[in-house]
Amino acid sequence: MNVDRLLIGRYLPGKTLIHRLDPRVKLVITLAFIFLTFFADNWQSNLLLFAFIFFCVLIAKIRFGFFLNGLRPMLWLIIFTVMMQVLFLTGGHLYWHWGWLTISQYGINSGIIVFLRFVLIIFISTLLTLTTSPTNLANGLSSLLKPLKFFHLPIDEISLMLALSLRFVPTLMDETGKIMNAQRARGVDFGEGNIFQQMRSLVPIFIPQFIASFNRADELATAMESRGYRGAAKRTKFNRLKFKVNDWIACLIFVFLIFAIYFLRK
Amino acid sequence: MSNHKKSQARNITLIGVVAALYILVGMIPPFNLRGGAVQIRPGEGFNNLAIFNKRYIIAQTIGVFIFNLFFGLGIIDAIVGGLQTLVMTWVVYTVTQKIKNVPLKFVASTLIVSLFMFWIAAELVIFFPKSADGSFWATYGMLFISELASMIVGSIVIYAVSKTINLTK
Repeated sequence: MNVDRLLIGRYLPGKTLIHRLDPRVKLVITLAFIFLTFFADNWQSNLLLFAFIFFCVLIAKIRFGFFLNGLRPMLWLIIFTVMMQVLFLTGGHLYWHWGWLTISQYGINSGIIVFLRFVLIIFISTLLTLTTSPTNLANGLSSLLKPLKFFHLPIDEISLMLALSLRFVPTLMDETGKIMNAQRARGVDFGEGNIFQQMRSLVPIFIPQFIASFNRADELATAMESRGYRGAAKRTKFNRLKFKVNDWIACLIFVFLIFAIYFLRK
Repeated sequence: MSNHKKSQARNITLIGVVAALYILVGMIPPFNLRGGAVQIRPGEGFNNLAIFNKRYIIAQTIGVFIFNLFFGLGIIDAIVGGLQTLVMTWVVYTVTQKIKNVPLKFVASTLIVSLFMFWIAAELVIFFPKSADGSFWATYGMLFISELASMIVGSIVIYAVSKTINLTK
């Protein structure tokens, strides 16, 4: 298992325009972009969204291979979802029919749209985490969720938890790779045999992984405390988030994209 | 350093780690077993963690939110799935507090989580009619069976983990 293929949560430091954007802008644009993909129901709007992603990737100076590698672990899920669309949806010209299964024009179109949606969502999500450090991500989330403090919600803690979980994914992924290799060396076969044998082969991964994870959490808690972490008790920030000209330009470009997608809808 | 402050920091880090574990388990192919037509996701067994401590309610909610946002059907799926997990794990925690027998807690948790699939069935039928087959009951039935199988497998794995690690403290 190549652990480097799963890119969510991996940050690539850089000084590009995308890296320097306010994390709040990147978060809002990412969420709005994901939402936009559901409105892209034709090839023109999908082409426009891909152009936007490609433009961002070029500015961020990240090799496109990174994004293609990021797709690989999700390939089976994407194929399964696309096949469900292609084989079960009917409408338009009917190409093939056998029992419950049909291949129609509508099914194929829907399958293509779903495939493109998956790719776009994975690309934009990967771009966000590749160009935003977990600390900035936490600060951005904390700032965006500030209005919820009115309801006495511990926003700073929630933001920190979100950032930690994102940050821990690649670390735990590497750890899992090591555990699985160690268990393979002891003769454990993963994914072999019937469902019960497969299930039994999971226990030797889960237990060491949980132990290692809980130890890691304890170490981090101790490190946080020794550095004076006191929850949200009147905390100040060393790096304050401020909107700059680039952030306003990015917002403006994205607003144009929203209008373009709206006008391109069927 | 006071115990309260230490436990607050530990709760935060544990929530982060458990949420990351949930995301990880959902992403790695060997963790997703196949038994005929039903796909079993042992990661769903993480819902059982709410039996031991209410911190895992937040951990599971965050894990589901991030996983659905990045690997699911997007923002709608993240919000609906996150809310469903929050309510569902809270119900699991509340109900199982009244049960003393640990294996029985797992049985209760498995049933509650499986029954709660009506929420996701409704989401699929309302927001994603293309991915559901249009009928609420057919979608709910499929989700219930799949979730029940996932929860049974997940329960066995989490029970084995709970024998090694004290998940309550």
